[in-house]
Amino acid sequence: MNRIIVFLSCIFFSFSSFSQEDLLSFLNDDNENVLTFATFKSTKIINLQSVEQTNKNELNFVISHRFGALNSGIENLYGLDYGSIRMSFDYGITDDITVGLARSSSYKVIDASVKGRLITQGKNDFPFTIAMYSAVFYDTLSSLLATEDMLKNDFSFTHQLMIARKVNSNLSLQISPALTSYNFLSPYPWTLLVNEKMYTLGIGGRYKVSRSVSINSEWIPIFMTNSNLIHPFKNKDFINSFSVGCDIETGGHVFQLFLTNSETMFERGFLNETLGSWKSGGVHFGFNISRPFNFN
Amino acid sequence: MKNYFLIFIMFLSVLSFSQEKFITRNGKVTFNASTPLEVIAPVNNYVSCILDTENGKLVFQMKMISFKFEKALMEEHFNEKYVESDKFPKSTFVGQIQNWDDFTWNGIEQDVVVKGKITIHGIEKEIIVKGVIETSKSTISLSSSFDIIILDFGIKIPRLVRDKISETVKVEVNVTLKQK
Repeated sequence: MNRIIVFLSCIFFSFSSFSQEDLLSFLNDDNENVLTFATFKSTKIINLQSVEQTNKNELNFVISHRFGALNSGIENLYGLDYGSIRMSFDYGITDDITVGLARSSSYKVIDASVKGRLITQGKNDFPFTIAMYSAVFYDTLSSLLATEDMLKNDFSFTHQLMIARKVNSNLSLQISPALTSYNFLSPYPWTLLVNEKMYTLGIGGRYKVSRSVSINSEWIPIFMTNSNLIHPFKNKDFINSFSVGCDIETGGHVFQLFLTNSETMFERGFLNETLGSWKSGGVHFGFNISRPFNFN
Repeated sequence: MKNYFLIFIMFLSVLSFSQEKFITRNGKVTFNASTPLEVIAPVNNYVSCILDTENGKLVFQMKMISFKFEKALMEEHFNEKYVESDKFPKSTFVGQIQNWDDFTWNGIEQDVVVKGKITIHGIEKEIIVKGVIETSKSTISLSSSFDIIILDFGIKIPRLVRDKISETVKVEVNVTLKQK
């Protein structure tokens, strides 16, 4: 009996001591986890898609430019005389699903894409934000250029997974495995379709140096074509894309200024078809400017 | 027998404790930092508030990330660049309604003065705010409106957007408390 009384009095004491506590503690609820936001400033790290999405009912207009190669000499003002352009429109259907349409002047490619966020860092203490991106590329020049001995490749596809972690408020890292599938087709209907697959592993990150400026970099090694493994450093067939630059954020715009050895701005191009070499100065100055328009 | 008496007293104290607290988790706080160039007027509908009617002690708490803006980008910048919601997720006010003994449960509006400490962006400041308190059968409503200078809380506006964001922010508070 005594034991029960002690037990009960313990409970009551704990209640009464509770009432003495700071009123603030009443207001703390258990659901304290906060979803991570602003892992990156823009929907792109540089070339690579970041886990960031276009917000619901927003149209994000991105205009991108890559100038000519720095090693093209003073007569071309180190590449600034020449430039290729990409215009893209991304629309947020929900906060987690974006559809996009874009056209790039290099190879005259039109691409349509869908990007979805699967899980956000911080939800049930999950350590990463995971998103996926799929795009189809329509090569408007391919059919024109196709000849007897040149295959055409009207449609190609890229599927990409983005896994990112905002390590702290300044540092965010991302890893992005991607598969690009080419469908080569002879212009003559009696030949076979050749499907070629390329696998890449993008690695990127950003570090915020002030609240409006961050330094970004990304490296995208090609590690497999069809079923052949490729050494990321010791291969002579492919050049891996490497870019370094900065994001500058003003009120409504994000300006991304960078140097990259990929001249093309659509996924298939910069993931797999990079031509410039950093060693010989085949590097392009480029920028992306994004501006969201709100349709709420 | 003594022990039973003790328990009875404790039980009473628990009962009285539960009667004197009025609480809500769905209070509303808005602030207005608009300028002629930009409308900045977000709403937070998940403000927690508790009032101890025994002594007039009043506490507010809210998550900064719960402020909803018209533009999603603005909301992101607010959380990332201005109030730094990942480092300082909550704002609080801990205060005391002055002359609490004069308070009566009569259903008409009563002007009150509240004095206390407000914490935003990790910086605590002493403030005195005028407000109105109104009672009904089972609820107590509090409302107030006051200005804060955001630089006082270590929130700087970049030069580039200085014309777009007001440095003095008008805060409006509306809560309806129910007995706990």
